[in-house]
Amino acid sequence: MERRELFKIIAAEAVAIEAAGAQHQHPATAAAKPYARKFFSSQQERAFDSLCDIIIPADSQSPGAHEAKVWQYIDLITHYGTPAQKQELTRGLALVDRAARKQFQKPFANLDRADQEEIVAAMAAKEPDREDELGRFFIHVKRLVIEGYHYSEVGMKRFMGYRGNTAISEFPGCAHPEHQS
Amino acid sequence: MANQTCDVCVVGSGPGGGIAAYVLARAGLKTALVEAGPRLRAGIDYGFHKAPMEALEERLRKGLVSPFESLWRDRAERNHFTPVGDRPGHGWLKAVGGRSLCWAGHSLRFGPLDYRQWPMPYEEVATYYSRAERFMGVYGDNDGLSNMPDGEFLKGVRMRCPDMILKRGVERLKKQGRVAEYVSQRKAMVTEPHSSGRALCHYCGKCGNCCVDAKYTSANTPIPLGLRTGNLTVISEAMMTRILLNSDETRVTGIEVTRPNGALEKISCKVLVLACNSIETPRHLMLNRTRRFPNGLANSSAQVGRNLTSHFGFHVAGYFPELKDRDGSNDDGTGYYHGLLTSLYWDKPNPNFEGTYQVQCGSGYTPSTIGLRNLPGYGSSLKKRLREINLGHVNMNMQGTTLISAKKFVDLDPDKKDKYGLNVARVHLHYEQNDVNMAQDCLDRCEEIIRAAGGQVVSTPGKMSPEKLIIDQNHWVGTARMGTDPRTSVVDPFGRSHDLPNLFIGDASVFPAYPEKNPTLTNITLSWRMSEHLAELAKKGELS
Repeated sequence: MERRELFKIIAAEAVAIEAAGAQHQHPATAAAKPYARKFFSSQQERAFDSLCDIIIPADSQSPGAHEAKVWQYIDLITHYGTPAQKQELTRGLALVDRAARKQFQKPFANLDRADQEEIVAAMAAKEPDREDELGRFFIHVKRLVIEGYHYSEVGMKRFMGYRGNTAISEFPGCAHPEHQS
Repeated sequence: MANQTCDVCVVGSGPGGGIAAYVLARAGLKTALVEAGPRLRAGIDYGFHKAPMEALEERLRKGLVSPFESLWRDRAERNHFTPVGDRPGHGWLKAVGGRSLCWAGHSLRFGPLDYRQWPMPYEEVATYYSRAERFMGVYGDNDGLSNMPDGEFLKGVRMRCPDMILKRGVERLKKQGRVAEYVSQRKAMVTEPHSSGRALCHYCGKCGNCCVDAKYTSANTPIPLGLRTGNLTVISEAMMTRILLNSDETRVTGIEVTRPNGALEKISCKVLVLACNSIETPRHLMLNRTRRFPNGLANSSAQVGRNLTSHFGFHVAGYFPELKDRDGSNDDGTGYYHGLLTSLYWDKPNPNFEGTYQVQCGSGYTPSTIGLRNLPGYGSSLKKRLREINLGHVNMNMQGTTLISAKKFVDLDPDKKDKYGLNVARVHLHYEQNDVNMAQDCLDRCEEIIRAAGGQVVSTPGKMSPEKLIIDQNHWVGTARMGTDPRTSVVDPFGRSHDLPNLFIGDASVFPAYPEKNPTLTNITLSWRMSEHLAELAKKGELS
């Protein structure tokens, strides 16, 4: 019986696991391939790159969303996203551009950083107003930036100091005397 | 039609079916283990360590939305039933090992007080718990608690800093007369060399798809060991589509299965063990209506599908400012939940509700557990706050038992059918005042503990209402309950049908009452006990 033979293989492999266990290693992260833009236009790419970096900027502790290439995360998930997700981003950015044109006569991507920061400050001021479209878009983008930043090498390693995903033989946990009750 | 013959046919290879197959095969019975899904191998078919951005595009291309692998989210089917009422969820993982492949491993014994509502005392089951723990490899600490008994544990795993601070809050409140305990989780993962030969846990936190089989599954321990006896055959990718009876409907004679290509096969057996899960087992019984059993097989009590309950709850998050700069560089551990708030209302019930709850407490930073995504503001201050909350948060996840009542049950959807032409199950869930009262009490107590520990409540559902409650999709039990009285129960205290003497049930649908504790260890323990009993009866010739 073919099937029965197939399952005998499991038993043999269970033995193999015993030997393999101790040698388990997690592969090092592969070098990042150059990223090809998928959804955004070149102007949208620049706009999101700036928007993301103002929401999570570089500071003395760690680099920001620009160095973490968070716009690529947003570009990628939108490319594979639903039509509604695509529309939400395009429409939201159009609103941001409208605000930029109104105040500075240029699209958001073409403003200098100080002017971009003024636009973002105005968006953030509308954050508590759930009726305001720009405020809602700000919350939406912020969520994506937070995710994309956390998933990036910069976010994991330089922002959080994460050394996880490595095999250890004992979990250190908390042994701090000041934390014991 | 192809035909196979065996002594015992076990349907479903999850926690209950897997252990039954092993115990029966070891007892010398020719056993066939039937599983609807294919075989999945740890580290080959699942269990990959990839950085999120490295994995993302490949996963998006397959239609998966998260950059993090999850057997449960990626592969479990969750639309195979009709939900009625307050958002009941259920999922199955069709694969050899079933949902034991993706479970979190939490292994807590039910205690003597819990067994007061069962037809046998705790003491009668205790030795089977010990056997199950030794066989599975369960780590934990012996905490000396009255109603969550100690066990035969491998070396325990330490809690993280936020857990220790939360424990401090519990200790402070105990001095003021509150009753509660905060202890380390107990999980079926090998932390020191174990008889199964499974690899040691390397604390990568991806327990839902353990890549080295450090976590116990049916597929990595009982099934391979069962195969070694020479008495076990695993028949995968075979969906049971019919249960066969003799002409006077006094005995089961076998089952019919359907292959992925539509071919039908017959498996004849002397004894049938159903371990399909607490939604599917009653569905299959109800699908097989006959002259003698017009309401479904083994259902003279009309209790099949009734007494449905699961665990439910919500999340509330706290933050401890003193931990804002702690070292969180390798927090993965054995998954998010390392701590457990327990011992609530064991001896002295709360007058406002029946039953009780426990709270699983998660903490620690990993890329997949971002503390909060909805913090106000932006810029450096947002960034600083994110980092602090990632490191210093604790997430308290209530696990209470929904009240067993006539409003919660499983029946057949008269209209909707699956691809085999069989009616799908309907799962009816309606939260009641008891459930809401219990949740409100839990929320109040969690917030009290966070504050007593010196923390801030940073995310709370607020005043409780049914809309805020979340059902546990994997913890359903009760739909073929055990008991001594055939008029009010489906199976006897060993899992044997009152109506059909060669039909047994080996999954958690036999639970006659449900404490706050996770079901799997008890499911495995009961199935072991049932299987030994079955083997004894077979030896005495009482089953053929």
